Amino acid sequence: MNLIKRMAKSARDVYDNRTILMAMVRRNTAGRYKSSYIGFAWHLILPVLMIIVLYITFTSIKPRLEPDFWIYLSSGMFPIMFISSSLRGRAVLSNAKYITKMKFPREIVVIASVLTDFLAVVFAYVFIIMVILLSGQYVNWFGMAMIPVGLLLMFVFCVGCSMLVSTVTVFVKDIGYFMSVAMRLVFWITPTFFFVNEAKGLLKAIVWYNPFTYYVEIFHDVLYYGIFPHVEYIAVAVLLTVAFTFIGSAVFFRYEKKFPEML
Amino acid sequence: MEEDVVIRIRGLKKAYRITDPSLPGGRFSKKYAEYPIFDGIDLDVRKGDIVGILGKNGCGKSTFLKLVSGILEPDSGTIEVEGKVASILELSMGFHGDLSGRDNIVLRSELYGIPRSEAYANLDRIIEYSDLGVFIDNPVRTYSSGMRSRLAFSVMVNVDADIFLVDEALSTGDMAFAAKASEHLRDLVRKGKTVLFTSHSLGTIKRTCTRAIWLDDHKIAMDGPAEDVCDAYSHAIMDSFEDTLSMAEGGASSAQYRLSTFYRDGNGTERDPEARMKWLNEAAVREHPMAMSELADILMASDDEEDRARALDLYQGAAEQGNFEARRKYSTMFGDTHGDIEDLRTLLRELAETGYPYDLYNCGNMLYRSALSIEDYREAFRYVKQASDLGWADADYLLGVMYREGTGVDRDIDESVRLMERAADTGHSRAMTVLAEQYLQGKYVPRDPEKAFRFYMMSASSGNARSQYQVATMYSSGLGCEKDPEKAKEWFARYSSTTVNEFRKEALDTIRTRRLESDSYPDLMKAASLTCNPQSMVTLASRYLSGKGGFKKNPGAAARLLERASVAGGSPRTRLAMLYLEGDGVPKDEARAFELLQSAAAFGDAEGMFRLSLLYKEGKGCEADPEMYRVLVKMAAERGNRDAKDLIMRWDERNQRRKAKKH
Repeated sequence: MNLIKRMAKSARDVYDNRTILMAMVRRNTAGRYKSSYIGFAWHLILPVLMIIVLYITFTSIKPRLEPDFWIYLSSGMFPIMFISSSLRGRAVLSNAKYITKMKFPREIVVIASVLTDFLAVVFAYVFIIMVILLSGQYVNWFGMAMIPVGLLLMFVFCVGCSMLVSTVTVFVKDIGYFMSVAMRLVFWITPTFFFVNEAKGLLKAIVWYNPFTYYVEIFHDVLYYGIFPHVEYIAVAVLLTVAFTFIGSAVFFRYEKKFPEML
Repeated sequence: MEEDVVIRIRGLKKAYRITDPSLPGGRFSKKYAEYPIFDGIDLDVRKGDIVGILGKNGCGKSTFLKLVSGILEPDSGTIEVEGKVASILELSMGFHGDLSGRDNIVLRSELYGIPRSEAYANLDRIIEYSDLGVFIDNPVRTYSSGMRSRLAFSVMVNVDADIFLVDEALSTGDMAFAAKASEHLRDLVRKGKTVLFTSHSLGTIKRTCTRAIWLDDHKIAMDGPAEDVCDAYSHAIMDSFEDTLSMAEGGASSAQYRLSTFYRDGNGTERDPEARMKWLNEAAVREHPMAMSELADILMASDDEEDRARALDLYQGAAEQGNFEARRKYSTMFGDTHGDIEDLRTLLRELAETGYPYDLYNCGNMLYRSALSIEDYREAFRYVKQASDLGWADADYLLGVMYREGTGVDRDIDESVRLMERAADTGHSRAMTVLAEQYLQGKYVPRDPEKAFRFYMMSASSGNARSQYQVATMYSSGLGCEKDPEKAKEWFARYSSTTVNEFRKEALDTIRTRRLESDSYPDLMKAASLTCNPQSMVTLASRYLSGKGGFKKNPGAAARLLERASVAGGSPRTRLAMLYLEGDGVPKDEARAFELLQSAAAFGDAEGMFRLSLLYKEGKGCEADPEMYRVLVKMAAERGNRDAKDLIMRWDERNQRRKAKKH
């Protein structure tokens, strides 16, 4: 009960201090690509180039009989890119100077850092979705409506996870190094460049225990298969999101008072 | 709460956990020791206090502010704060280097919780307050630390809060702005706000605060009027290494010098020659006389000609500030370099007999610089006075200094100011800036910003970059003049272009050392000479003479440049004399060449001595004098002139051969 009160207070705090939140997001993004010639366009071009590279790589390993493999690849790749960049666990550490020198709701640094990654990926993702729509694909509009829901779930999930991981990283620095490897692993075991039914052996055994699979499959269902996503995927995703938000908040709010001394 | 008390602290205790390797426990079961920072602090701060917090590093100044702001929580005890606290403790925190000053102002305002629209509305006011002028659109990574703190402080000015807590306020930045900033703090207090800040600069705390707290030994060691606490504190810390280090890092030249001695003697720290040199340099750059003198000692031992030249400058600078040690060394150095100092004095005295103001001044100046006794000063004073009476501006200035310091004459500030003003009116640049500083700070004379402005203006118009900057800031803040942002901008622009010339000079130096011959070389050189730097003028002149590096041969231009540069010392005089001797670019004039070489030799230029000796040998421009010839060759050889050394070697050989024949 205390936790719920604390979370409600936090929500109010963050809303009251939204200026600070946005300033931090802006600060995180400011200066990126600033002195390059095409500047802002890099936000689009880089992910697209990456998709092209991955497409060429994976289709050369194994020729794909499935039609429109690029749609499958890109609809799953962007969510996983967002997840792996936002769960590096350094949100608190890398904002140490704010935590130690400024009085403000400390969860803002975590939210700002996830939001920064989120905006960067969503921007390119929306662009790709437009391309998919324009390519004359069959579109399930009810399913389409689940895309923002899926993104929102994923965002909240990542905030929760990041609160947990960033807190632990403050006390056990080793976790930070571990997370970068873990995120690489997530990339390889989440069905983005393979289909779930292709998984064999160990991968087959763990693929449904991987929480990220559910989020990614929602997007696959909508964008690649053109159906309303499986309800069980959505249900699991909601459960995971709620669970991690609570766990993350519980840990974060329990230990955040120690941050200024630990940093 | 009691009336007016806005911060009330009772029984505050706080301890940090620190890892202690001496405690038992392995890698995974670390044991911590509790390190108490505050052990029961009681304090009331009233509305309208400006409280400075003093103490050595690690005594918990910053922790104290963090506790008051609520970033940290006390272990026990209570802190009650009434009113809104400005949220950011450290002014210089979180600037984004790639963004312009303008964007950073908005960003920083948002961090204070000011909405974006409001931040934009206040933007012009903040920019104006910051005095950053044309630099406001440059990326912040190009700012100096002083400019950064200006920017940071200006943002704070628009923050609406009741209590301001500032860590390390006003520790960097130039004097004019520091004054403005403390003025602002006092203004806040008049409006019923409260300010708490930490600083290493006792001066800042004394000037700004109404009250000071000295934290030591986990308690408040002293609490009272700022003046008293600062005095007690400074007595207590003179001998501590850590305190000195932190003060030195705060930019206090006396602390920097003291620190260098700690490093030199291994006092409170490891001996570290590099650190010693670093701090000695820092202090010397800030014109700390002892540091200048000591650094000069070290440089003198160097083989590098430039180092030795710098040493001479340093001694002179220290001597000017009344450092006896430096004065003595300067004169002995003169002794070293000029054979016997008495000879030189005699020579100059003879020259002064002619009654030309330049020679009178030169003689007086040399006597003043090398003076060892009051008699010397009196004599110097007489010569300088004569030169000054004949209207020689340098002499006016020097005489002004003597009246001010009471050297060789009774102290007389009015007379000093009158003379300096006369020197300034006739275009003596140093006199202008010295006067302007005196008027601005109210040193020796009553404070008078208008006069200060007038003199800065004179100096700025003659191309002095620092004065240009000063004029620009005065225009933008309306100190000593009508506020005029347009003119401020204009002077900032001039300051920038002057500094650009300085940059060009640096570029030139690079080119010279790398011996590159780029297309833009002639332009660079010409630009460099515009800075009136004698070294640059001499270099440019030699290019005009040799016609190398993209230059057309132009001895006339070279002669003009050397003429201008010759005020600075011996070497240009020698070169100019050679031109007169050859009739290259100027009419052939052996007598003039002789005069020039004589003064070059008096300045200690070895080449000049050697050339002069040749004139004595051949009787050009003077009576032939074999005795002078031999003496001068010897002097030149002692100063390292290679031709002279060769000559002496040949003499020695000849003498030996003669001896051998006799046997």
